[in-house]
Amino acid sequence: MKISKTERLQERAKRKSYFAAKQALKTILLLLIYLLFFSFAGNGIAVPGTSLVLSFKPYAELFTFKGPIENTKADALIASYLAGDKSADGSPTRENVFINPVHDGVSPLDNFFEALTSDAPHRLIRVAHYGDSQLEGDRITMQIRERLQKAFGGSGYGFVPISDIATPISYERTSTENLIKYNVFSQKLSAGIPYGLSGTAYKFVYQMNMKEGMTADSLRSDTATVATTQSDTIKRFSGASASFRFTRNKSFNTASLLFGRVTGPTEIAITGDNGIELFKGSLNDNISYQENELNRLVLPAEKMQRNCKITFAGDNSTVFYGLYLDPDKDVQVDNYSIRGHSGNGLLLLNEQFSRLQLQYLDTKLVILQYGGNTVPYIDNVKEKKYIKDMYSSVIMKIRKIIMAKAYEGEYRTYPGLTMVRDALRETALENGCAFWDVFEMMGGENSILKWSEKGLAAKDGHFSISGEEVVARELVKQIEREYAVYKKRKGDS
Amino acid sequence: MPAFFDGFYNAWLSKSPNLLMAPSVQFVLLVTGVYLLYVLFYKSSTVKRNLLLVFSLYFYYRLAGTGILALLVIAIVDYLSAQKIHASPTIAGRRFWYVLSITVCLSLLFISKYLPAIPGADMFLTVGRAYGWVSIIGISYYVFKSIGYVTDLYRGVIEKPEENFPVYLLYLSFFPSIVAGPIARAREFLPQLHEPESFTQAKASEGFWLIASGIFKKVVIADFIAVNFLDKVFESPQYFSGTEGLITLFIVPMQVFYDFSGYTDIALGVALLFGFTLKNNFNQPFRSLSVTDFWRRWHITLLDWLYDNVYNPLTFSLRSLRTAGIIIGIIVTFFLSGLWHGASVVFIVWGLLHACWLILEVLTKRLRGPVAPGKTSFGQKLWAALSFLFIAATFVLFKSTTLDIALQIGSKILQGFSLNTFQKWMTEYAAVGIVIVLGYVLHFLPNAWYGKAKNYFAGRSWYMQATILAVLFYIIYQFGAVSAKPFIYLEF
Repeated sequence: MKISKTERLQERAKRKSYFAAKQALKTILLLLIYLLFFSFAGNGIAVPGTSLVLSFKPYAELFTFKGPIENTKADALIASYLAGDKSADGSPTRENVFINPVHDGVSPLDNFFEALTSDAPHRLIRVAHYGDSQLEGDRITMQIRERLQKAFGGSGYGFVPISDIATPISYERTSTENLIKYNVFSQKLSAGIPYGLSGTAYKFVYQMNMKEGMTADSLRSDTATVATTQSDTIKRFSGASASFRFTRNKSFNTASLLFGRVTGPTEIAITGDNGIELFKGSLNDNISYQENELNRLVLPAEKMQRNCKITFAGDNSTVFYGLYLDPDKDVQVDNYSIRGHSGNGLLLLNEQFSRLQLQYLDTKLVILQYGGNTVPYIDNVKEKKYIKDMYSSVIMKIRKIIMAKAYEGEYRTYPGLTMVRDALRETALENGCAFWDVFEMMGGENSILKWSEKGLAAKDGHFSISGEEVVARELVKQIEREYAVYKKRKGDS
Repeated sequence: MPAFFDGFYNAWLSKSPNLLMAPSVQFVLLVTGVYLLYVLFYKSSTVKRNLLLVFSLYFYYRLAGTGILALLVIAIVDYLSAQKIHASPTIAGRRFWYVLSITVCLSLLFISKYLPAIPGADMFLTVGRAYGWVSIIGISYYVFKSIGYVTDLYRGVIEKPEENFPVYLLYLSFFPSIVAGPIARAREFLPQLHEPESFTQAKASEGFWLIASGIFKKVVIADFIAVNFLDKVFESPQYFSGTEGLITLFIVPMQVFYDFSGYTDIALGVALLFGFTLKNNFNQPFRSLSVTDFWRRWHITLLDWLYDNVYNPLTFSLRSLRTAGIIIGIIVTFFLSGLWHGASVVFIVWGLLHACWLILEVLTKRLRGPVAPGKTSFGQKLWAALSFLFIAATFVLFKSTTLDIALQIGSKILQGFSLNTFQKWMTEYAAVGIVIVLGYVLHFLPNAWYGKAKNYFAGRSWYMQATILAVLFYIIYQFGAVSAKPFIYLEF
């Protein structure tokens, strides 16, 4: 049988095409074999000389093809939360979400509850809310503060950083760029200078090296008088300031500025609306300021209720530890957040110095809301032990400082989340703390996707404003529930 | 046993939009399996075509569930309409079938995409969601393909309709491009389904290269930036400073570009492995000298479609109005472009803003003077910078779910820049900063360099190519977000 030239050409093209496709198929199959090979690397391959560990999907995970993610538990919980305070149906039980074990008739939260029931007049009970970017800018804390103050009384804004990268949501703040926030995690102070209880401290500088992106510390007084000018590499400032606008009608009776030992002339001025001077003072006029490691400057709270600007000037910046805007009594909640922090930086707190702060701050409950910056890096038992040891040390540190019993923890969804959650729960309970399991409260595995669908959180785990409301409401609800249990327990005994 | 079947159903048969999440091993295995059969049946073009069709339909069913019915209805109606248009002896008859076809296509698009956004459509939403008819994935793309085909036939740009229904259905459902384009013109793609084998080793290498490039763009750049910074800003702009707002302005265009361009590269690469060439959607869009130039380099196949089917016919019919006709053409085209992206005020405003700038460019064209390659004046460079800022600002709008979010970010940007905050940002987001710089550098590299890299790769043996790809994928995986994000353009 004869075949035409066209058919011959077509046949040749087909063969050529077949050969090319076969080669491509070989490439794909070898590639798949490589991918399988990567999966057997177990805990990954450590890069010598660095903390980097290269890893690939485990074999089991590589070939696990799940259908659509369903979480009816999360759906029911979200519906219940969105229905508001009225509905308790579907709310998680205290047994698996909020653990406050009673040993010998005492629970970790008793310290806080005792203070609430105390007859001592004019007593301000503080709650310290530590965390990472989930809280920054007073997020979640503001919600908890408002709910606790509604339940137990209180007003004001609590701890107010005088400078921060995050924009606060409960008030407005504008700081000059030379007012620097130092913290125990990412921008550390020089050795020997203690951090505040918040894990932060603030200093102003007179010159910044713009080219290198570094901040130089204060200069001598002959350069300090130079007005703000810009040269190629150096920018100089004549002073620093932080302006505040309080619009939430959360009146405060006291306004305190905490700062360290004064080693040189430091002027502080506060102006209100239209530049009206509310306060002016020189820190070095007070001899005790030069002797004490920690000082408190009481500011005219009654004049600062709406707008105020705090201006700093001096040769050598004193270390400041932030403003505290408080009521005389009842409950106050302080937001101590540092972006990206996983809590271990608190080990840098100086115990003695922190106790000095507690003379002014009667902190009775500490909430540690961490985990989000830890979870992505945890995927084996060895790392779980590391997490347990780390948070155990943090709890011991806080306990040494505050001599209290309260502690909680919280996390967000990631593959290694349950391991971290378990580590934190075990650590908290082993150290006699209460534990709030936000992972279970949200609905367990993959519930973050459901929360995201409902606009309660971003997929990366950060809560939206509605999500923050739910989280704060549930936490306060649990605390109130425990408080009722406590009162009943005390009444029964 | 029922548990086994449940597991099997969930893994391989249930609707699963996650199937396309890069890098999805399941997707790779499925394509490899089909490819194996594709190679085995190399002698029969019909078997290969039908194999591709069956897999494309299966693939689309996994993504869209019962939404596949819309695809089948459109394919049947347009296939039959095309035959009737061709056979009809009268203009009225041709017009009747043409209008019928367009009406069916647009009605299904409207029901799926726009009806849910109309207030009072709650009843439809309840029923539609239950049956998966709301926001059917990919419908905007294959409706445009189908309309383009019927229009070309009606106008005589295509002389004969496609007689083989499975071939036409494969044109609409071709799996690499069904969910987010490129929107292949029928006159360019249908002949490829008929022509003798043209698959070569060079095409295979280019396919692998494009797939690797796409995954790199998506995972290392787009997702990394989104997960580690951008999503947080768009989720809660109120918590970010003016400096971060300004940084967002420069990051958003790159993130959207690398996301969509990454998808397109993967689609082009997979299509090439099966021997088909799709038109690229991008040509270094941020090197544009004006917004007009930008639209010649960004989402090229959509603009081709709009040019062929909206702008060109409209401005031709309004040619007596001269410049006014062009202005009307621009407004209508970009209003539709915005609407095509979604039934949202955000997209319509986005489209109209681009229309306004394009009109400005039409009116100032003489003032700005002609552009010769490599000879741009200072004024033209300034205009290019202004155009980039405009494009970046409109991308902020494009990525915002509501106007309010866009306005919040806008107000943050106006708060100004603080070097101190920028330094803090660089400390805290150093990795994001590095990836952004990498993104900009890669975007502005000469095209020839990419050609050289591709040629070097293509010159290696098959096992070397596999080794290079494996090492590359392993490295890319290290950058991967914990959960891969869906491609932005799947939403349209």
